[in-house]
Amino acid sequence: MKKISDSLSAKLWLYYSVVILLLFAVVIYYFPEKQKESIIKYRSLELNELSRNIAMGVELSLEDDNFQQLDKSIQYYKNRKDEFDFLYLVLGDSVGNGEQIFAQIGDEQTGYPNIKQSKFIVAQTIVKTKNIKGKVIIGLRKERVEKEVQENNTTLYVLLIGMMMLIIAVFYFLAQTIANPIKNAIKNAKILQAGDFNSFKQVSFGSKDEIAELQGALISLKDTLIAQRDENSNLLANLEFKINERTKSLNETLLMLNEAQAIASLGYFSCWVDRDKIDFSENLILLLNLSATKYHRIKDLVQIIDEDYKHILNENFYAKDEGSFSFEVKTSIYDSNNDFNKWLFISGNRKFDEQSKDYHLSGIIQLITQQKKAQAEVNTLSHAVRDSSTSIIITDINRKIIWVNDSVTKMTGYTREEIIGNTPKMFQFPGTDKSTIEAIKTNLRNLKKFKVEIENQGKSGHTYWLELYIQPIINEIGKPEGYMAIEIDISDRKAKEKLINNYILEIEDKQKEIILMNETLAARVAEKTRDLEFTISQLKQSQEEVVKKEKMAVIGVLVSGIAHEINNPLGAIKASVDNLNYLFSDDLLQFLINLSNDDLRTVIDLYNQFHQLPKYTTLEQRRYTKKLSEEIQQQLPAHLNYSDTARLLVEIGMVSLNTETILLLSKTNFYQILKALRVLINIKRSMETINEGAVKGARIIRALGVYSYNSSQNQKHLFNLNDNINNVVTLLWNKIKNKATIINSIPEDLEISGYEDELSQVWLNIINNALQACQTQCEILIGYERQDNVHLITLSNNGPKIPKDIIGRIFDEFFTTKRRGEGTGLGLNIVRKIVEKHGGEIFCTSDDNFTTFTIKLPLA
Amino acid sequence: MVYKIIYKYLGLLLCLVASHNLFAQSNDTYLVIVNETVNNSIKKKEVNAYLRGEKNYWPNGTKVVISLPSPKSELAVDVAQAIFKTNVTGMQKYWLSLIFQGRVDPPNFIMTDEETIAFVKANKGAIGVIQSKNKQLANDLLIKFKDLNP
Repeated sequence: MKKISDSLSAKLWLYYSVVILLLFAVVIYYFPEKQKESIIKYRSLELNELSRNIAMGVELSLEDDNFQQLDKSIQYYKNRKDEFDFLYLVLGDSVGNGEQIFAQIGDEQTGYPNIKQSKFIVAQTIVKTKNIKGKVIIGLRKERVEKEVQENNTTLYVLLIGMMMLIIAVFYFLAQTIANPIKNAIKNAKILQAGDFNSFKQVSFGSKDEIAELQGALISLKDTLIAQRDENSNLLANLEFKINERTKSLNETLLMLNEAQAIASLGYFSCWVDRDKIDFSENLILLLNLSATKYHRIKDLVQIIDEDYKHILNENFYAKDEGSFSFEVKTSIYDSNNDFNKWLFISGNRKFDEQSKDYHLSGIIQLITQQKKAQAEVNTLSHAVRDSSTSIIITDINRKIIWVNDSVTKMTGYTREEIIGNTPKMFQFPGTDKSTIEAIKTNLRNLKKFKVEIENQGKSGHTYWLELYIQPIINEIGKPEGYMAIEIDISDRKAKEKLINNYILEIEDKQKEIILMNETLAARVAEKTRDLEFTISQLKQSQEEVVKKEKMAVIGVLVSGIAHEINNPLGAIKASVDNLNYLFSDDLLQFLINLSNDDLRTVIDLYNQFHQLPKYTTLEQRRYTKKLSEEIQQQLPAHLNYSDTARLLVEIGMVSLNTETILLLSKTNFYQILKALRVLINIKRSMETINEGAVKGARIIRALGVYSYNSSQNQKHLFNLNDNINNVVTLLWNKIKNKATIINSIPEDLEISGYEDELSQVWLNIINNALQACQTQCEILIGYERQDNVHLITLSNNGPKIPKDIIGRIFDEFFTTKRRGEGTGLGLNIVRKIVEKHGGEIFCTSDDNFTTFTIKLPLA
Repeated sequence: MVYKIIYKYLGLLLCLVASHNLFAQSNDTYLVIVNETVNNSIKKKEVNAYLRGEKNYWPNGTKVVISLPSPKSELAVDVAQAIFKTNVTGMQKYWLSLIFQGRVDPPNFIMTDEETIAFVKANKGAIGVIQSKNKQLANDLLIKFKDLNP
C-alpha cells in the first residue's frame, strides 16, 4: 500500500486539511469564550443604557412633570421582560436613613442591597432631583447569557463542521488537479530510469508552464536515451560478432598449426659443418621443396633463406662453440599457393668432434607460417581491443583481473600494473549501491550475461557511472575460465538525469509556491474585482450624469437665443391681439349691419379678393399710393381727396384702378366701405400673424422637448431624420439666422432607427461647433447617402481648417481648443459615444475649403 | 379644673380650625370636569378613584385620560391634599410609583385651567380639575353625577 508521504496529491490535501482543521480548532477554542465576553459586554451596555433612560425618565417626571419618557422606557422594559430579571427604583428617605426599594418590576430574589455579582449582571444609574435622590437598578441572571452562548455555540459547531467538510472536499479535488500533471511527469521519469521506453506516456499539456517544460525535457531525454541504447547495442553486437569471428578464425588456425606442426615435426636434419654435407628427412625435403635425389649441402638451406635472416642462420650454424640453438627465419620457398613468405623454426644442437675438430649439427625444422600469421592477427586484435574507447576488463574465474585495455587505465587513473591481480572491488567505494553489487555477484555465480549500471571511484577519488555488460568466458569444453566486462562511461547521462531530478524537485517546490501565490492572487483579484465593479458602476453613473449635464449645459448656452426666438412670435401675437382689440369696435359692427345688401356684397367680394394679398412695405405703399393717386386724379377728376383714397386702397391691397374700383369710388359711402374693408383685412392679417407666431413657438418648444428628453432607458425607434435635424436647426435658429446658411439635403421622408434625442445632441453639438468656429458668414451643408448597409450622413462647414496635429484628438475626452470656461471638451466625445452606441462610426476631415464630419449609422 | 376648662376650649378651638381646613378642602376650591362623552355616567364617590388612576375605564367602556394641575400651579397643593391626601411631592411620588411599575398611563400635568378645559374638551374620556373661580368657563364640562341626576 502506498504511503501518504509518497503521494503528492495526498500530501497537498493533507497539508491543506491540517491547516483548515487547526484554523477551525482555534476558532472553536476561542470563539465561545469571546462570544460570551462579547454578549456580557453587550448586555451590560444595554442594561446601562436602559437604566440611564429610566433614570432620566424619573428625573423628567419629577422635574418637568413629564411622565411620558418614563412610561416609554418602562413599556420598553416590559416588552422585553423575558430578557431581564428585575428592575428597582431605590429612593432615599428625606432624612437620609438609607435607601429602600420604592418600586420594582420582577420579584427576583436578588438579596438587595447585597446583589451577588457572580450570579447577576447589574447596571445602576443615580437619580437626583431637588426633592429626591436614589437610583435605578436593573439586572439579569448570568445563566441567561450562558444559555444563549450555548445555543449559539451549537449552531456554530454545526456550521463549522459543515464548512470544514466542504472545504476539505474542495481541497481534495484541488490537490488532485495540481498533482496529476506532476505525477505523470514523475511516472515518465521513472519509466525512463527503468529503460522501458514503450510505457512512456506522451501527455499533452495545454499550457506552457514548468510542468509542460519538464515533460518536454523528459521526451527529449527519452529520445536521447533510445538513440544511445541503439548505438550501444550496435556496438556490443558488432564487438561480439568480431570476437566470435576471431575466435573461430583462431581455432581454425590452431588446427592448421597443429597439422603443420605434425608435418614439421618430421623435418629432421643432420650435418657436419666442415664437411658441408647435410641430411634432410623426407618430409623436410618436401617442405623445403628440395630435390630428393640431389646431394644436399648447408648452402642449399642458406639459399632459400631470406637475405635479412641469412646472418642468423650463419651465426647459429657456424658458431665455434657447443650448445643448442633455436631461431626463426623467413624464406622465399615457393609453394602451390604462390606463397613465398614461409616462416621456418629451426632448433638444434652443436657438438664438437675433438678428433676431427668438426662441428656436428642436428635438429629439426618446423614450418611456422600459419602460426606467425595467427600471432600477427592476435597482435592486431589485441591492439584493437587495447586501444578501444570502450573499457574492457577480463578476469579469471576468481575475479582477479588478468587483462584491461588502455581505456580502463584512462578512466580509473590506475596503471595497468596496479590493476592486474586485483579484483574489480578496487573500483568500488562507500557510495556504490550495495544492491547493485549484490546483483552483480548473483549473476556472476549463475554465469549469466547481464547488464547493470554502477557508480565507481577512480584513483584520484573522482566518481563515474558505468553501464556494465558482463559475460562469462566459457572454454571449449564448456567450463568457465573467467569473466569479461565491457564498460561504457554513462557519467554524462547520469549527470543529466540528476539534473532533471533536481529540476523535478525544484518544479515541485515552485508548484507549491505557485499554488500559494494563486490562492493569494485569487483573493486579491476577487477584492480588486469588487473594487473595480464598484468603481465602474460609479463611473458609469458619473458618465451618464456628465452626458446629461453637457446636454443641459448646451441648452443653457442656447437658452437666451431660444428665449429670443420664442419671444419674437409672442411679441407678434401680443401686437396682433392689441390690434384686434383696437380694430373690433361697435362702430364697425354697426356700420356693417347698416350696409345695404349690395354694399355688403361689394365688401365681401373685395375682402375675398384682397385679404390674401401680401402686405406691402412702407416704401412700396408710398410708390403705389403716388401712382394710384395720379390714376384717380386722371380718371375721376371730380373725386375729392384722391390722395387719402389712394392710400386707403393701397393699404387694402389695390394698386391699380379697374372697373369695379371706379364703380366703388362712385358710391357716396365708398370711404366708409373702404375703411371697413381695411379693418376686416387687418383683422385677417392679425389672425394670420397670431397663427404664425403660435406655430413657430410650438415648433421651438417641441424641438426643445425632443432635445431635452432623456431616453436613456428607452428602446430604439424609427423616426424622421429630417424632422430631427430641423428641430436642432430651430433650437439654433437665433445663431443661424444672421450668421449662417444651412442647406439640408436629407430626404424629407427618410426614417432611421435609433435614439432620437441622443442623435439630436449629435447634430446640435456639430452644428453649434461649426457656428462657433466660423469667423464670418457660415455655410453648413447637411448631406445624406445610403451605402450598402449604412446611412452616410455628412455635416460640412466652411470654417477654418482644423490643424493636422489636433484633428486626431478632437473626439478625446476633455479636449478643447476653446478658452477656459467656454468649453468642457466633452461635446465631440459625447458625439462619438452616441454614434458608437448606435453601432456606427464618425470621422472628421478638414481642408482649406470645408471641414466635414462623416457619420455612418447602421440601417437597423 | 382651670386646666380642664383650658383644655376643653383649646380642644374646641382645634376642632374649629380642623373643621375649617376640612371645609376648605371640600368646599370646592376646585371643580372636576369631564369630557361630555362620559358626563353623567359616574357616581360621586368614584370620582377620586378615577383621578387617582385606580379606575382606568369609564362605565361606558371609554378609557380614562387623566389631567391634573401641574405641581408648579397653585391648585396642585389643594388637589394633592384633597385627592391624594399628601403634598405635591407625595403626589408626584404616587404617580412615579404607579408608572414605574407600568400599571397606569401617565397623567397630563397642565399649568392653567384654560389649558385643562381645552384638553378635556379635546380628549374623549378625559377628566380634569380646575379652580372653582373658573366655573363659568366650563359649564358644559362640569361633572354631573349619575346618582344625583335620576
